[in-house]
Amino acid sequence: MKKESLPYGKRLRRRAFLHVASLAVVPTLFSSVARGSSATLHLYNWDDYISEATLASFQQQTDYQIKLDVFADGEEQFAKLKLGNSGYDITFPSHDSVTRLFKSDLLLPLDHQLIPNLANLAPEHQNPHYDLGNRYSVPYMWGTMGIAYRKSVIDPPTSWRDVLTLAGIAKNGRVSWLSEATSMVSVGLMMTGASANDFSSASLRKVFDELQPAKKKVIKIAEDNGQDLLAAGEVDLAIEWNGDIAQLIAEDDDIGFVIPQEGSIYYVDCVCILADTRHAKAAHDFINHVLNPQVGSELAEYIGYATPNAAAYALTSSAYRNNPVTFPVNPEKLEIVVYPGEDALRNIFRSWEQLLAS
Amino acid sequence: MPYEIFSDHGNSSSRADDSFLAMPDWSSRSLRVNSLIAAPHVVWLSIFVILPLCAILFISLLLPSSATTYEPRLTVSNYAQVFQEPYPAVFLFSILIAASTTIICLLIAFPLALAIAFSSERRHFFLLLAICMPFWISTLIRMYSLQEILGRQGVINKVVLGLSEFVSSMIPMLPVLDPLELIYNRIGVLIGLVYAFIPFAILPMYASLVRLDRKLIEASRDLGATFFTTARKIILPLALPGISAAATLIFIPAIGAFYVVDMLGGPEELLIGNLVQLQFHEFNNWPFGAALSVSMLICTLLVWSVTARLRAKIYG
Amino acid sequence: MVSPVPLKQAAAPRARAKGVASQLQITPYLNWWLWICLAALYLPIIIMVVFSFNDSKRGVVWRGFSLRHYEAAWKNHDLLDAFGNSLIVASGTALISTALGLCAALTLERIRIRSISVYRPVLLIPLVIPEVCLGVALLVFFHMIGWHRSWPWPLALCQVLAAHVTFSLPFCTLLIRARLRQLNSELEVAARDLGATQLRAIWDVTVPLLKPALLASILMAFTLSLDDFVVSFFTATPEAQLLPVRVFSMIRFGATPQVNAVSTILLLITVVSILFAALAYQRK
Repeated sequence: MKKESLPYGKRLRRRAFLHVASLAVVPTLFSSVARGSSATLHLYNWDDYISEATLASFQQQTDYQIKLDVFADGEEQFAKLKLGNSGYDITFPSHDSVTRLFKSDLLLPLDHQLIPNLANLAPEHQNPHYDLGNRYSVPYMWGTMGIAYRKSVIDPPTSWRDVLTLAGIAKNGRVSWLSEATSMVSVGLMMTGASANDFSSASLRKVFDELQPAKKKVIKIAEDNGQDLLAAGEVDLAIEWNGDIAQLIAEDDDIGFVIPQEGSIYYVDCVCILADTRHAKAAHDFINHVLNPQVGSELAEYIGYATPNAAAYALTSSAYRNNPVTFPVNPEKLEIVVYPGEDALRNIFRSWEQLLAS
Repeated sequence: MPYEIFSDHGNSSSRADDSFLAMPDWSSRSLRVNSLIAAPHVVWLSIFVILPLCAILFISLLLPSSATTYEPRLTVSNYAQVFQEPYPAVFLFSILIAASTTIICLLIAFPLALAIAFSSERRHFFLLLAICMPFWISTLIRMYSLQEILGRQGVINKVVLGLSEFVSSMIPMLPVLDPLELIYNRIGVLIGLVYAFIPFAILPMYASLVRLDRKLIEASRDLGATFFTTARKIILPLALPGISAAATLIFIPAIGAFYVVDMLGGPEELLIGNLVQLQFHEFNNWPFGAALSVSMLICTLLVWSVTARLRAKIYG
Repeated sequence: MVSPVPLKQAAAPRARAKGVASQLQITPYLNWWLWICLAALYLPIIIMVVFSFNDSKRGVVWRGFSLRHYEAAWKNHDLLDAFGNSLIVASGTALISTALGLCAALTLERIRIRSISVYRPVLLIPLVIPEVCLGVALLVFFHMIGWHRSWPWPLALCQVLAAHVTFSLPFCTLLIRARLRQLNSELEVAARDLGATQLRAIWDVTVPLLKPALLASILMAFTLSLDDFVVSFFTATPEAQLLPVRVFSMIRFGATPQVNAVSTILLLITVVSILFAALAYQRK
């Protein structure tokens, strides 16, 4: 007969207590693992738009941890930040979003004294029209949108009509679109011959008349993962941003990228500090760190987008500088989109939403 | 079934008729103790259920604004917008998809529940465990694993195409199949929803079937009925409470399962849940999002009241 | 001396329990269906586990065995943070929900003041409405009362905790009330007759009798909270990231096989704890 020191009920209770107690200890272990350091900078960025090495080098130099959250498109970013007190310190909006954000008083004016590396920027990116004097933003990367395709399956597309109209998709096969309303509408406008900034109701009507029937044939409206669909063979044509495709081509050279004959939009993504940050000094240090030539060149080569940092550009490899995906061969065909105001944006969103829901 | 516990069927009040001492009725006793016990959950519900619902009702009546998310001006334009194209179509589509999911789940789960309930007693626990174990993984992760299976280069297609090529190589006349389109379309969404909600179908039906009086089935067999007749006349009617509970448990969450559509659906598949999420996370249009939510709520309550009537009839 | 009677009694039930299924002569079909369904249920899980060891950055092409995704998942501080947060919130939810559920069950069963019974449907609401509506309502409410602030870490979880307690409350109440109904209430009356105050009567008599239901309620609330996605999605803040939300973010953006690794680990933890619980249960 087994000798039991305690009655069974008591043993069960003790065991249960130990389980619960250990369960309570475990999560604090997980959290303290990451919370070894004192403070954290929260970044809100596009996906795959910053390299681990950049973050690691910053974390080594300062006492700050970095946490990264991602968003899929500019609308999502604005909606999250609009709530105020979002909890983020630094974000990476496109240039038209920069205007939208500082008009909503969401950005902290930058103290240029704390960012000496600003001088490294190429002259055309200093004092840009969307943010005079670089008051709120620092250019991070610039890029464009085009059509990526699988070379072994399909001929290079020549026009936006190949992917945005019913006739084009029927001829070309499996297509994916991007979920960002403003960009898609802009290239749609260029497709119909209008300017990328012509957001009048008539022009919008023309664009959506083409997009509406075409939507049925689209495989997926991708949220910044069109390149994954392309890589996995789900689609043969993807509307995507050039840097994402540059990253993909580095892995899989059966992928090609073109900017259609009508041209495309060109945007500058910037780094900004949010107005309600509690780590303003560290945020400025981070921006300065990103503008460092060494860091900047390594970043540019990793993410495959074009860097506006002249000093960093000088340090990059010739393979990077001659990459036709990263640096389009016909830059004159690229049109920059200007922030059109909230009313125009609401029109665009309304129409885009009706497109999605129909 | 779960929901009847919230009704007053067989409540203590009927038992109180037996004897005053049988049921400690506290209504007449000290108010202080009563309030102490009732207060926590009443306060919590007031703050975190009633107030938020009032909040969305209030916001849905405001005008959307770009500067401050909503302007303090009352309007019913948001609800008017809900009735314009294309939103009613989205509502109908959501209800259709939810209904299809429910029916498919019931069809799949009923024989399964039968198999478990009518197997030997010992195996019940292990079979239920085996069925439930996959569902202890988060639904999101299960949907993600479905992505890997249903894709063009996913497991199913690899197997099917491999077989098809093998067969074609043997019989040259047969063409090789195209890859099956199982994802980013309606089929993908249905498969995802069914996979997500099937335990809600199995468990209530199992609970109901297991309480079935076996003697009735024995009697029916003795009287010479075939399986189908027995099923139709005996098993099905007696399992109806379980089936109705399962249907309700599946239908209502299915209307709002936007993440399944996000991950497995194509451009043509959009649920009301997706629209609401888009309003808050993309288009920054809170009043309209709130109006959509309230409409969704009303839809759900309508469905609920209809099935409640049905359940009342079943329970008699 | 063991009497022969028990043996006879043992024989009879075995002969009778030939099984309803076999009586209906559908056993083979049912079993067939059972195995097909089990296979279909487990196929995605097996694929997921297998591909967590795949040596490739993306996709379903097998490129060799490797543990690099487990390494990457282990080094992914955001993920570990989210996991820790999920556990903390789940534990908190389990305890608070059960406590509130106990109050609610006691109220529903014992106190029959008309003004209180209006709360019965209110209690049902989080159970009945789609989670999207609840998440949105809480988001709007928190924003309107200005609770959408980026509090430092432990306090930031309070918002999500409140949301989770709200939707698990009906489940807990349900479980506890079901058991409460089955209780013999005379014990409580007896305690009162012996001179205990009302509160002591509850605490010393009713609550211990409710222990299985309380335990079940804790487990249920814990599971619900850990697995919840929709409500967390709407109410999460950057400092209070929860695991399902973090996983969703990872999946949306070029699903990395890290997700496979994380899921396999979670599956392992779940299976082990369930087996543990089952063994503990069997030992009784």
